[in-house]
Amino acid sequence: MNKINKKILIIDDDEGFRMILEEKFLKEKFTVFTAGNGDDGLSLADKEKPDLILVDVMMPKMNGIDMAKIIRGYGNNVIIMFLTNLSDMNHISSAMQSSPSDYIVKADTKISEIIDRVKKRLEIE
Amino acid sequence: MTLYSLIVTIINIAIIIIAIFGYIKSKRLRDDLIKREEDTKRKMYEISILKELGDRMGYSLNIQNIIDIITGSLNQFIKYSAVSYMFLEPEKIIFKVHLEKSVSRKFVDDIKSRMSGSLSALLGKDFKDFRIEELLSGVIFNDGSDGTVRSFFNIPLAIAGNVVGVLTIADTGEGLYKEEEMTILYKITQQASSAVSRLQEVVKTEQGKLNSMVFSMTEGVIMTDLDYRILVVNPAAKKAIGLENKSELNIFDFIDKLNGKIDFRGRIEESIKFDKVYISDDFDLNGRFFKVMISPVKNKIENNKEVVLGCVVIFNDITHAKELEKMRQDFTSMIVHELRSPLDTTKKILEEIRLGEIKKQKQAQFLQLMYKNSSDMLELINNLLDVAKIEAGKFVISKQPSDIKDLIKNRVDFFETTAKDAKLKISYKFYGDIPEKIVFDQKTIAQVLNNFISNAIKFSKENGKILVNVLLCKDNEDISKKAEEFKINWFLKDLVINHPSKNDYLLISITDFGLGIAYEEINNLFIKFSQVENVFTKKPGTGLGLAVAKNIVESHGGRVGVGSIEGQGSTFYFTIPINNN
Repeated sequence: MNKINKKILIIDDDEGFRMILEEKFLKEKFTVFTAGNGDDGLSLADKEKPDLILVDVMMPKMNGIDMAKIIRGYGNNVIIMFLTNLSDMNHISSAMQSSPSDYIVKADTKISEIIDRVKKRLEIE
Repeated sequence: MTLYSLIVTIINIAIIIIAIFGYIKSKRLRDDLIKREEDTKRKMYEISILKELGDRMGYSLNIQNIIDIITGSLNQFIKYSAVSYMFLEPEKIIFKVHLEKSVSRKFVDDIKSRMSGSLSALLGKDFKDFRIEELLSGVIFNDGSDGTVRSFFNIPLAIAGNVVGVLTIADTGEGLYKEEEMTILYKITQQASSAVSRLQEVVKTEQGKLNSMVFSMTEGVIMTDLDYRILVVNPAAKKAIGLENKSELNIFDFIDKLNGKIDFRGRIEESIKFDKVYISDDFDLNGRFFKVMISPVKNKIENNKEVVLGCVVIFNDITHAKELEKMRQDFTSMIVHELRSPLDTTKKILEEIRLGEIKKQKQAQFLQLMYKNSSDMLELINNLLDVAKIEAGKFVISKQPSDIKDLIKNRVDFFETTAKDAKLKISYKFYGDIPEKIVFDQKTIAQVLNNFISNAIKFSKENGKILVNVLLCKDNEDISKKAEEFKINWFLKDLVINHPSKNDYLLISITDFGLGIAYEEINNLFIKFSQVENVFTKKPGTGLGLAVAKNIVESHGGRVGVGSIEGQGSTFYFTIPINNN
């Protein structure tokens, strides 16, 4: 299979989750970048210009919502998918208003489903 | 003849003189009598007015009624075209005029403006925006009649030293009122005022018991009458709106300070008029949370009928309940983040391995991660169980003479491998003549050391070091000086520790040269769940371990603490007083 010409940025402080996602996306031939906090994620988003960002909501230093707001503030219209463990969606609704964005409740979603959701958003077969 | 006539003349003159003298004397006597009669009449009038006041007032404190009584019988004594008064209510002025003679409208308008002018002057307040409620009685207007006020005087009405209105006598005739009339009317109003003040005092004393109960209530309580005048306000209510030092509060103070958080005036009006109980939503005011209840105050009269007397407002401070609620939410979010997330990740990794999605050479890395996750989760569950035990008073500490040096060596050895994995060096050092055996609980002090050392490892930078120092100290001793002597490298500054026992003690410190702690966060460190401040900003750990450690150390009569410079590192310490017995 040829390499898919799409870049994914994964930002999550949960090392295991980040690693397993990276592993799966690499297997699906995506180009993957990872970061463990919002600060690093922000500079990678700026440098690598990903097609889609998967970002955890709860993170130390800078949380996912603040990070997304900064990215949008730059006029960057990249697709942002929030990863969350909370079922209370009020928290991210404000950040979701500036589409294109989406959210995934971690515990309710299998890794393969996350891959499918991402592919669908990027309109990949 | 000449002599005779001379004598007659002299006698006549004498008689005339005597007569004149007598006349003069008797006139003076009569005048005196009249004056005395008038005085008596006046005194009688004064007494009768005061008696009438006493009878009619009863135990009423309605000041308007009392003024009505005074003005109602005034015509027995003073001549006037009109007697009137202005009386100040919270939101309006009552202007009552009684006409004895027919005057024109202009006459009344003239009195009205003079009176409101003098009321403003007396109170130093502008009443332009106040509604003036006019009440007319007596004879009817005649616009053809005289409309000029030629005689006029004002008497301020005061209760307990506070001006509440003015009383005015006016006439179309000129130069009618002299000092005498004014003095007497003044006297009457004075006496009425002092009677009311005294009565108010009696009522106040009687209310004392009820008041002291209301005053000591933790809920803020306000009671108003039908005209929104505040009759009762307790310190908690004053505190709620941040006016604890103001002695007299009116409804506007509350409207102003509540700043639209609730429609205070509207809700009170509703409660009084429609007999409605209102309970507000939670709202914050000056950093605290409140719930307000407004309900009508009713009194049962004959035939089981109820009359509304006013309304009561209760400020319920729910800050503590809110804090508990927040703690509960924090706890839930902590459980989500610290237990559900790593468990979910572990499950997902296992799933992928089972499906054969993870390459063999990568698997070791994932296994290592899962091992770390499960250790962290186990530690958290142990801490949760300890906290539960502490809260139930079932956390057992069994102190025995034990070797502290041995325990320290043992713990440092235990952590050596973990430290090596994290590329850290860990070492210990003893300063001073440390006793061979001191009394403490090996198991729980080991737990404290575990917590402090594992935190130090967690927050260290690569290739850093961790120092465990044990110092023998005297009560109230300047430890910083001692540290300088021994050239100890740590983040404790100006440290002096006293224990209630005053005994010598061991200071055990664990220093890392890692991230350090922000100044504003240090004070919250040892509070349960403190590290979950915000659901979005996760910090490593939950603070539970530190809360448990604090409890263990305090059970030994010791202290815990921390010194830190952000970005440079932290020193956590605890003390164990040495029991000489």
